[in-house]
Amino acid sequence: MNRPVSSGNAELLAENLSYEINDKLILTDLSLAVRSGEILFIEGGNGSGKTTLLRILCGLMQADEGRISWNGESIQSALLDCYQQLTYIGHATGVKSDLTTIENIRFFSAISGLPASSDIQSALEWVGLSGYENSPGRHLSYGQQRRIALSRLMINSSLLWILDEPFAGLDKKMIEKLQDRFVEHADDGGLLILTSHQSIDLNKMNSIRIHLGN
Amino acid sequence: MSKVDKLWLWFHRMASPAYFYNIAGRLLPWIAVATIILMLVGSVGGLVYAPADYQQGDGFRIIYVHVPSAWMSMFVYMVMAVNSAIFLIWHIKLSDIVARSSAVIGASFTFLALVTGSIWGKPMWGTWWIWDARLTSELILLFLYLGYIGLRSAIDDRRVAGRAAGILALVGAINIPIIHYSVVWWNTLHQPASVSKLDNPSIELSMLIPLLSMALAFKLFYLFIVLVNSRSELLEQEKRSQWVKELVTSQ
Amino acid sequence: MAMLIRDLRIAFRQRAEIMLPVIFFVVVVSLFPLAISPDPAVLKTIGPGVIWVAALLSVLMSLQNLFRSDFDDGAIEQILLSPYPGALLVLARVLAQWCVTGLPLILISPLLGLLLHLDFHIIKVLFVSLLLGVPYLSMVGAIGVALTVGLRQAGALLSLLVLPLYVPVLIFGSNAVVSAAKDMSYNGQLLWLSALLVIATTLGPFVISSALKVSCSYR
Repeated sequence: MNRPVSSGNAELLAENLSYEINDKLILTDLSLAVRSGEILFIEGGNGSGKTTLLRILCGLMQADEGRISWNGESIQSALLDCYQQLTYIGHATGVKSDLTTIENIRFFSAISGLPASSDIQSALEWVGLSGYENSPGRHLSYGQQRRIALSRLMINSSLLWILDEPFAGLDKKMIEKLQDRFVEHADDGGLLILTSHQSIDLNKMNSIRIHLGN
Repeated sequence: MSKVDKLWLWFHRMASPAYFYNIAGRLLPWIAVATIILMLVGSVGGLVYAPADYQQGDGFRIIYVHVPSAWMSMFVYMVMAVNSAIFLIWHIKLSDIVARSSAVIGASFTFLALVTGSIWGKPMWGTWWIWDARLTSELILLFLYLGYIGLRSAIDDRRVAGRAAGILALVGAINIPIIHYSVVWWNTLHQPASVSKLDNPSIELSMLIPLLSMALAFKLFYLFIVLVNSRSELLEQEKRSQWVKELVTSQ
Repeated sequence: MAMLIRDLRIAFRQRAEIMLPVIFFVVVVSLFPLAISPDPAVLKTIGPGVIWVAALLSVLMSLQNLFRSDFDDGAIEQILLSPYPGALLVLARVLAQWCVTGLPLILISPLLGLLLHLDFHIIKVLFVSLLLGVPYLSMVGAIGVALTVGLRQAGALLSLLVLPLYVPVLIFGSNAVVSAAKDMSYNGQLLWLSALLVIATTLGPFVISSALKVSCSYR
């Protein structure tokens, strides 16, 4: 049973998620829902399980109990369809140190399965890496590598974004640009789930908040 | 309900921790008794009543431990692999517990088979080891077991360790026939025309009974150990659940 | 899809450690005349086995780094989250790895055969056997790597996991060459190698991508 997906009525639903690792309870009976145009902000201190929750929502980790569905279908049964619409950026950037910026971006673009909605140059400009097309990854700082990863949000825009601490390592100007992009994304009917352990000014964004931790 | 549904329901009931715990607990004393009886029959039959081999004398009697051990080492690996598959496909936690309990005892059986094979060989060929097909296969099987145990213990998260080791067990299970065939083939190339000395000679009835008896005894022993281990693992893993709390308070 | 292979190849072309397994291969083979005897007759007998074992160890060595850097920098996650089947992307990756490490080993084997005084027609069989066997070693080894990539002492555990699985290929591969040396038929062995290679190539990528998924879930 698959609802036709236009950018208007997509939904990610998680029900009764539980996760423990070796007797340490990290998530207990957690449920959440995100719909088109909504931004879910997950906050909590270090070690509260934010990253674990995001990884479970992506399908990189499996919850002990509970169910996750995308547009009415369990993600386990429609994995590749779900991934077509997913962009996940975690702590690890996925940037290879032996490839240049442009090669890295092309790689991300190729495996995303989505058409490019923007060209690479303007995306680089947006993240402030204009002069760095041919720099190999190892010459770039962590913050710069994160920005390469974030450029995916400009180039292959998928419906569902799951971002773990997207503002980490960025300067104020970039953070603002990113927030603008988030609002744009939500207005277009996209879904966004993000975490941060800092409290970010989200007044511009129409967001739901979940707090994790004790 | 159709028959298939009934079977599925029974299967799920069996796999439910509380139910399994109770049933296993009730069966244990019976299994223990049966094991002891069969072991006695096998040992006495093998040591006293069965004829000594005309060529190899009384040392030959170790076959009553060696052959069942070797059979068990293979059998336990298959059980481990099947349970790993069940765990990976249907996520039934009990299967993972059974697989884990089986690994160590399977490795022990393999080791036992190797040691008894070696002891058997010493008086006959004067060496402690020989590269014949069965011993070499058992050695490789031991490595497969050790790899499984090693992988399990290297991963902290119990469940993930079960999944990783489960994949390994399945890959190993697919490979075992291939490995066995290649080792046998390799062995026939380098062995002189005579039959492998550790092959089963023609079996008379008085030898067959103790042999089968020991084999069955070993199987029940394995079952006993697995049930005991599984029960304690279950208590450990499910300690937060209702039935365990009730169990503890009623003691 | 082909674009993906190209991308992965780029990553490998820029790696400086390509030569290492090949050098290892040559060094190990060279150790045997020193350790045992430089007598041509002896070398002819042990030659095929020595080259095969050395090739096996070299492949194992080259595998250590197969998924490690991808795992550390997060590329593996992105590969697993791609709408393209994980098995396909993994296949591309293993293929790229093989081109860069396995292929050079195979190509240099005739040279090593000469070092060990093997006759030309034996070297031909050696070459074919390695051509069929080394991809199998890469694929099956990759399964082991995928299972251990997140662990600390990955290297030792990897050897333990993978060596039992290498035994059939070692037996058939080495024996094919030995049979050729004795002027006996070796087609059966080569057939077995081909069959094993086919099985490994069809099933391997799926197993590897499952194993990578498992490894990613305990970071």
